[in-house]
Amino acid sequence: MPIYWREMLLKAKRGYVLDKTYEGIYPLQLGFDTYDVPTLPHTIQASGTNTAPIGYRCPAASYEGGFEAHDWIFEDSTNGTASANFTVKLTDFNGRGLSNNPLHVRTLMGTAQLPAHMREPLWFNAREKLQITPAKISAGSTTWRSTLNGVFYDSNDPHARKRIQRWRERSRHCTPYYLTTSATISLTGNQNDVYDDIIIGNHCEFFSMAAVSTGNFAMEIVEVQSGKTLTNGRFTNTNALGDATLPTLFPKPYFVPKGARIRTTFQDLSGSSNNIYITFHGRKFIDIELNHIDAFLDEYSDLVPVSPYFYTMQPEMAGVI
Amino acid sequence: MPIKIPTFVKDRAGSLYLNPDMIGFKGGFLLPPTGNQPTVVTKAGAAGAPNTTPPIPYESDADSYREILMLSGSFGASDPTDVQNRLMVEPLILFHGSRSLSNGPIIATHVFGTVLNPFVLEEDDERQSFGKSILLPPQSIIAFKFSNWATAGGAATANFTHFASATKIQTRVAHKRQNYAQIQRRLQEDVYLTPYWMSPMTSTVGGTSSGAGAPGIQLAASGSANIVFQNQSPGTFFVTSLMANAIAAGGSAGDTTELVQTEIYKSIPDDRAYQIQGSTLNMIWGTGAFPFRLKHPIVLQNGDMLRVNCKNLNTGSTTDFLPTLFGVMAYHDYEDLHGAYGERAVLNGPSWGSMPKGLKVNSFSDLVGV
Repeated sequence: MPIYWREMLLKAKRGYVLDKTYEGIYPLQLGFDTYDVPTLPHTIQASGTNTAPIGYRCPAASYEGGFEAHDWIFEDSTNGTASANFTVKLTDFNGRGLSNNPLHVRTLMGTAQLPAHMREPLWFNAREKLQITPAKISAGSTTWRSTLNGVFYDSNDPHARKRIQRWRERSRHCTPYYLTTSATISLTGNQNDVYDDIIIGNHCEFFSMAAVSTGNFAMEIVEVQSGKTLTNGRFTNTNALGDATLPTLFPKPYFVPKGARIRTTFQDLSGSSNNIYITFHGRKFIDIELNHIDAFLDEYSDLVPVSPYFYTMQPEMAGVI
Repeated sequence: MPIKIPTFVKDRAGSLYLNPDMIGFKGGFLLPPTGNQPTVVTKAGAAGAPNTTPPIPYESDADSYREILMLSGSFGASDPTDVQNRLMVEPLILFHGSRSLSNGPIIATHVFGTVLNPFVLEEDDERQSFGKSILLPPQSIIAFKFSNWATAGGAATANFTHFASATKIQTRVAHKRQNYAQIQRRLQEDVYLTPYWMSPMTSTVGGTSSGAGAPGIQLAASGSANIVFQNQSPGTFFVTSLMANAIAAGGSAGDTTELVQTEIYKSIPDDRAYQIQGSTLNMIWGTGAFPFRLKHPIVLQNGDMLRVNCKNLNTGSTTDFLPTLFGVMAYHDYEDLHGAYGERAVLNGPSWGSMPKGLKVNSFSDLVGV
């Protein structure tokens, strides 16, 4: 959790003075690794041509420092940010994927005015790198920039050292995770009942959902094994789904256990060909038993607060408007 | 934290009922004396010589405190875009002596936000707050001085309607024993903690064109330059939010959406960088309606300087870049403020309305506690 400005004040005899033990903690916009992208903006090759992976690398102000990423931000300087049409594949420094498949950039990243918040911040140790592989969906090349907005910790700072250690412990077992369909959803005009099954590999918890499409559509979400549904019928994207700048927030986190299968069923409403990209935003738990998750989240609630109104162990239906 | 009164209270039997104090604790709006009529600021006569209004006051009633949480404003339908981008304002507190909440003129929309998306001074969740609300004691004034820097065009007049969203706390409720401790704590705290806006030291906007002399920088086509902010106040400025206007002249080319790429460094004391590579306008600079919130404050102590290296991505013409920093100023010691108000001035200072009986104020120290 970001440090609040009041925590950095000490009450003086008459007034306030700065607690200088926080000097080693400061905001940072983590952009592309300068070895991968020496000059901005970065070029994504035209559709059909591979673009080499690039990365965000945490700087090393000191050997044991770290970076806590909170927001995804990007801009597309050729096609325009609002029309950006490429996917990104994310792989963290441990080789773990942060998503099951490439994600449409507009379901993942926002802008300075409306950044895309990570409900589970992404932790980088010093010099660690998050690899990102962009790929144009169609048409010619484009150019873009992207940053992760967050907090940098210099381990020479006593406040930072404690948080760095706790983040290292937490990040071994919990990372941000983005879930999308297992295959690209491409509908023809008025096509109905096109479904896609997503198999869940780890216990996951989702807080919001975003979608981008070339036309209007309706969808429903069902857990195949249990038969649980998140809706009582199909909802449309115009009623229910925004992009990453204003995603659809779940009133309670949607917990999905390992091994579950989520079926999404789509119906085209546009009357013409329709490419649909949906993304669930949340986190996954690694090597934690189901009945230990609550205790784990409580243990590290100083880093990411646990809202008393959210029940992580209740995989009940979340209301989707 | 904004003032709060429990909505429900328990009686001796343990039954829950609506707190009767809520009758004197209401949300509401605070308007300037002109009410819903706009503040009209005609265009400047010459470049570098803005047309300025006298301070427009917002005054609390004699029988209530007002806590300002949000500021909103809107321009007239026919106000030129150039005027909307260049109208500036200086917020002033006219109690606690006289104190400015900025180091100079600030873009008006970076202070007032919009009607649909007001500028939020302080949020209810302390852990998420990026600023500080303003608590007006009874019959106290906060004022805004507007300046129109636009010169171009025949009708470069600003018709700016503005208001504040402010809770109203009746003194008969505020001065009850169960509530007054909170009020007193806030009054003491507000002597040293205020919201604060900072504009750059540089003022090379324009030249002979519109807006000349306004705080900001004019970048040549494809050119780069530095703009600096310096904390010259006797306190520590916690920068929590970044906002900017970028105005391209006619004949633009290149990246006309992002317009400007910036890199931010704390040049005094240690030239610390706050990014790996430059970020563009819509990646790090927000607006009054949607400020860009830093995940940790940039701390500027007295004398510290922030340098923003700006590169014009507009290859066809100049770009005026007018940034604003917002956050909280924490003053260190009352004696540092001696230039703003001395002990004598405070003794003759603002009326607190009806004070609780038994509270005798002999000196400033009695109010703020030593």
